[in-house]
Formats: sequence, structure tokens, C-alpha cells
Amino acid sequence: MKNKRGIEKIMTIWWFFIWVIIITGVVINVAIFANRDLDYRKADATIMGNKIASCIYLDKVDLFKENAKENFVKDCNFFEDTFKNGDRAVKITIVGTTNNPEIIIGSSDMFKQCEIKKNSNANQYPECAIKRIFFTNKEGNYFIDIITASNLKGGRVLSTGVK
Amino acid sequence: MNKKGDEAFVENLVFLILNLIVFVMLLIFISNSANGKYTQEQYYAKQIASFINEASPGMSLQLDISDLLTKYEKDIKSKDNILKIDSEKGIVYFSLNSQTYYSYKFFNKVKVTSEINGNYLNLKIENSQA
Repeated sequence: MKNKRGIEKIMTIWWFFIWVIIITGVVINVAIFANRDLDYRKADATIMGNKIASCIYLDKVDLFKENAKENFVKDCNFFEDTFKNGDRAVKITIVGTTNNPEIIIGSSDMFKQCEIKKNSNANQYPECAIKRIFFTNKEGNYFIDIITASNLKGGRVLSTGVK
Repeated sequence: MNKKGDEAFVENLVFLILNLIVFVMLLIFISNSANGKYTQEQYYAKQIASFINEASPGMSLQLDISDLLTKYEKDIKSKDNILKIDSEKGIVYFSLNSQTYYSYKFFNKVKVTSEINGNYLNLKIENSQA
């Protein structure tokens, strides 16, 4: 009888450990799930593509000019650091001209990563959006391919750091 | 013999009650996390940034946040601190507890003013002065 009571007490301790392990596991998983990142990268890339298409249509930027790349960010009303942090990039290709000019703003690696992502499950790679628009001007008719990439993730900051 | 039986019964009862308490606490934690304000903060910050990115000067947005205000009434100390927008750097900050903010960057260089009027969050988009 004494031995049985002893075994019961040991079992209680084991039960306690099992509970702790189960609860810790559940808490960790729920915390990870609750704080997961809502993926807005595809939407961000799509909206960016729409804005650039609109900018080209409204003649705010002249892609045929030599300094088109330098003035693109300002002409299309983007923040100066939009393409500098490696979070966003844009590639514009004019199809149908003799030299097929291409403008890349931001990291060109992002477009390679998007290509890799098509055939793999690399979630850390950016999301891309492709938009083809028809454009006509005095020099002729062209298709313009706009590829936008976004790998922007938000973050949490303390209220003391917010103005 | 009866005394030992009583002791065992009390021990089992205490163990059962403790288990129940822990289980209920776990359920409350899961429920709170599932409807978590962290997710809500992230959702609103990104939605507002998306709206700003798509907007043109002259546009305005009115967002009904009555559900949010009711649900997190205890957490929200001041309505004025829910949303902050830094138009110079292009960052949206959203918070339901005023201690930490979820931040998300927008790319459209415009001036954004925001105010909460009753249950509505109003955003006004203007030309950037810079």
C-alpha cells in the first residue's frame, strides 16, 4: 500500500511535466500564429505597378529621355528612399523599339529572386507583379512591361519612437 | 482507511481543479490571440498604407472603426493616439494600446492628415509641400 502511494505521487509529478510541455507547446504555437505577418507584398507590388502605369499614361515621366531613370522617382511622386532599402524595385522595359530600353530602379536581384520563387516555395523572396500597357506617342506605338517587386514587411515600434 | 481514502479524494480533486483552471486559462489565451489586437493593428496599418498609395491629392477616406473602438474600449486610452502618419518619411503607425505601434511604409509622396470623429477615421490626401 505504501509503495502504491509513492508510485502515485511520482506519477503526479510526471503528469505535471506532461502538462507543462503540452501547454508550453500550445502557447508557443498560438503566439507564433497570432503574430504572423499578414502578407501584403503582392498587393503592394500591384498597387506600385498601377501607380507607375498611371504616371506613364499621364506623361509625368518621359521614358525616352536619357535622364529618365534619375528623374523617375521624383516625376512619379515616390518617396526618395522607396527603392533604396532593398524592399521595393521596379523594372520598366519598352518593347518594340530598336534598342529596347530598360530602366531598373532598386535592387535587380529582386527580379531574379521572383523568377526563382516561381518554381519553389521560397517565402522570404519578394512578390512580383507584372503589368503590360500599350503606349503611343509621336515616336510610335509600344508595349511597356512594368515589373514591380516588393518584399516590404512592417514592424513594431515603441510609442516613444513615434511622433 | 477512510482517512486515507479521503486524502486521496482531496488530492485528486485539487489536481482536477488545477487542471481545469489551467485549461480555462489556456482557452482564454487562445481566444484572445485569435482575435488579437496585434493582428488588427497590422491589418489596419497595411490597409491605410495601401489606400494612401492608391490615392491622389484631393481624395478623402472615411473608415468606420466602431467595431474596433467597442472591442478594445479598455485598451484604447486616447482615440487621438490610434493612428499616426508621418508624411515626411511615409510611415503609417497604428496602435490599439498606445504602448507599441505597428508601422508600415507607403511610397506615394503625399501629405496625409487624419482625425477620428466619433466612430469614423477620416483621412485627407493633399499635395506634398516638399
